[in-house]
Amino acid sequence: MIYFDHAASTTLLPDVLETLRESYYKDFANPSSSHHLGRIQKDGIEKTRQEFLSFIKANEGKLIFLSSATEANNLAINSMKLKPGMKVLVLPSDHLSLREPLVNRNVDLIYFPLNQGKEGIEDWLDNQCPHVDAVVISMIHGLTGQLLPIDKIVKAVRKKSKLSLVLVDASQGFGKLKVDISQWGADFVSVSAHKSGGPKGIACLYAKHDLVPMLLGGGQEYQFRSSTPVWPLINAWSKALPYWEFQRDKFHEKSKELKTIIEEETKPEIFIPIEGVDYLFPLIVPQIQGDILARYLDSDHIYVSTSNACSSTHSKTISPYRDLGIDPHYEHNVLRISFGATSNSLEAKTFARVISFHYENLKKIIGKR
Amino acid sequence: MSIVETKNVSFTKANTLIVNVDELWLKSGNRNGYHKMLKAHIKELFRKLDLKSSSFCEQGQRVWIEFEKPLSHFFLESLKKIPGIHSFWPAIKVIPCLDKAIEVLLEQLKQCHPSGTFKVETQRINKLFPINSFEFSSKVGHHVLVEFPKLKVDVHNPDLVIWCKITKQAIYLSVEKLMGIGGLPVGSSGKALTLLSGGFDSPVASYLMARRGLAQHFIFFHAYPFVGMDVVEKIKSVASVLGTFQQHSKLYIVPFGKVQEDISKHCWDEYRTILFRLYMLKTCELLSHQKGFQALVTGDSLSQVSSQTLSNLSVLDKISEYSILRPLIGLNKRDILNLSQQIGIYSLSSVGHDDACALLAPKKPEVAAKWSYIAEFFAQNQFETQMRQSLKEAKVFGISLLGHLYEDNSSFADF
Repeated sequence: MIYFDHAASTTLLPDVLETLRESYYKDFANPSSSHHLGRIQKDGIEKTRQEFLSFIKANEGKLIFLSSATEANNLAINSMKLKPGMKVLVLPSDHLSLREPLVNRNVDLIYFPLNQGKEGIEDWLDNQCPHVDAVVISMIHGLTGQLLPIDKIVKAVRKKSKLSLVLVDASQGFGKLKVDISQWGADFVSVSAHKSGGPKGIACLYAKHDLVPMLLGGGQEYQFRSSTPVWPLINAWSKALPYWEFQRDKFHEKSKELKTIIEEETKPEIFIPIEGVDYLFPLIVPQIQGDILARYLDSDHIYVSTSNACSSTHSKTISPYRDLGIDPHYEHNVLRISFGATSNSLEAKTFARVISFHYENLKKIIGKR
Repeated sequence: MSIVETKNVSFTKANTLIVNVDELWLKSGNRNGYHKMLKAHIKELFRKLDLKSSSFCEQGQRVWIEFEKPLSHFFLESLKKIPGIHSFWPAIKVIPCLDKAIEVLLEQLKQCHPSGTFKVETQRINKLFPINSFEFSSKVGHHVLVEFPKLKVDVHNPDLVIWCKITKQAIYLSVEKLMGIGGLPVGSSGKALTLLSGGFDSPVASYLMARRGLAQHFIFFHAYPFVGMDVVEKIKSVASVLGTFQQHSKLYIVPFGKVQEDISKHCWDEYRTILFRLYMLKTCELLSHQKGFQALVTGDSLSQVSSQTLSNLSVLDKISEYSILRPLIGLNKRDILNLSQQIGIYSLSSVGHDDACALLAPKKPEVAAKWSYIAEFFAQNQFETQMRQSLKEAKVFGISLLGHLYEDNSSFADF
């Protein structure tokens, strides 16, 4: 099996899994209970909260644990108190949990010009950035791996409108890249655990301001998110922090190596580079629909993503790739490759060979004839 | 005739069913066998719905069934789908006494809030009953008018018909006659394999053949990996509706992309579509040998698409070992869509999905296939191993007559 869909979800880091086992076994009590068993969990949660705050270099503000980045994004957007007609800067085809909560609020969406290239983006930041009331944006675009210049965007926006609120979803970058909130100046930052070796069902939201709770009840997490905190999940996730602190550089070296292997060992027409991180990038397969090729790979136990790209089923809906700097000619021909902590060069080599084989084969059958 | 649900005036306490069997008079020689099949089908429905009949009796063209509990709406709707049933009355049984009949009738009518016009229709099967049917009807009608002064009599085109049937043992009262789909009991015409495609046509073809008493299993050729899994879900939902016209049906989902790939690589581009169809039929034959199907059913309609031209259909007929039944051959698309709507399958068929044929289709498909090329290609490329392999890898689902699909992978060891 070759799993190159780590951006969708990845394997648990060994320490995380070990802690999960242990903590679920022994930390069964309720962290809100006042007895000893509850208190040790509560202390653990507070200690971990501080670890996370310092991991993302936050000097002020609060961090709460919740169930998913989707929940975090909803809560943050809910707390922005957006009014109809307000302007919000977003990315084209960003994650749905950043787009859907905006839909009912009747705000005007302003799209960041992802497809304008480096110079276009710089020009936009320097000269064209409009007044916006809020920014709701991913740190890394989940389909293309483009790394957003968050600090520059926030600076440009704040130059026009001092009070605009900024939410950044850092799920795809957390751990693998240094997240420095003090540099960003963001008001809200959401992070999901399971994209970087943590368990599913746990995420966190950093907030500079008070949140407007969506769940009412016992008032846990500073009254912002009622629910019994899940210490075993928080506990296990915290073990991912030292891993990334020490392995980050190695991971990037590895990713670069694997990406290069794929670049060199596939047909030049398959590999069309897009500026972004090395561990998450699109592959373009001219003439062949991405989902068909993905299913061929699937039958060889090679797993990649065509996720919310463009299944041929919905070919009538507009492909996101048009807005992401990929030639519209290729909008149905994209696969997303993403590496994780366990990906290795043998996998990359095999992958390159197999995809080239299927590509050639399929061209004969369904390519331009 | 529409089998889509209807809302009628109905008796809440109806616990007897009078079923009129369709077309049975045509078949006096086989009557017993036909009755048996229809009875088995109805009993299977009882079993699935956990209904108990206290008596089940056949009388000429009618079947009288009495139940311990009132009949449910769902049961009546399911009954409409059993081929061979012309119509049926859900009725209340009372002792053979006029006064009692009137008392029960009025009590039941009160719950239905009848309005508009009505008439009473009496059938005196027991000629010894003291008053004749005309008198019986007028007495009942009189009491109804007294109790519901707003109702008016209209013997020609009434809103409500009160049916009274007088037998030796009882009087049966009913206010609704429900129409079934008619035709012949399923299984009475044999057993066939129906090719489903994901479009509108083949489900309608299956329905029409079910009405003619043909028991069917269904086969779908899944062009994975050229298409995804969405289409399988669609086919399953379509088959689950078609299964409600059958008793014990099955759905075979056969992975066919590999075979299509092999065909595409070896044949002239223009012949892809017709050759795909040819090898689908051949695969059906292999399955039929094992399962004993006597014919194949397709949704072909003459000249609807290029693979359905007369010459292309003839080529397939020539090479097929089995009769290919094409009940839609002379229907227009609009007729087919109307039927699809009537059997409640239109909305399922209109769900979009990947289409492998479109994907692999040649730019200019052959409309007049040359027999010589087809015969030569087939002789050189039997693909039997691939076809057997695809059957071996097929997913099989059983379909209950309530439309529930369940996995059934017991039957494919020997391909």
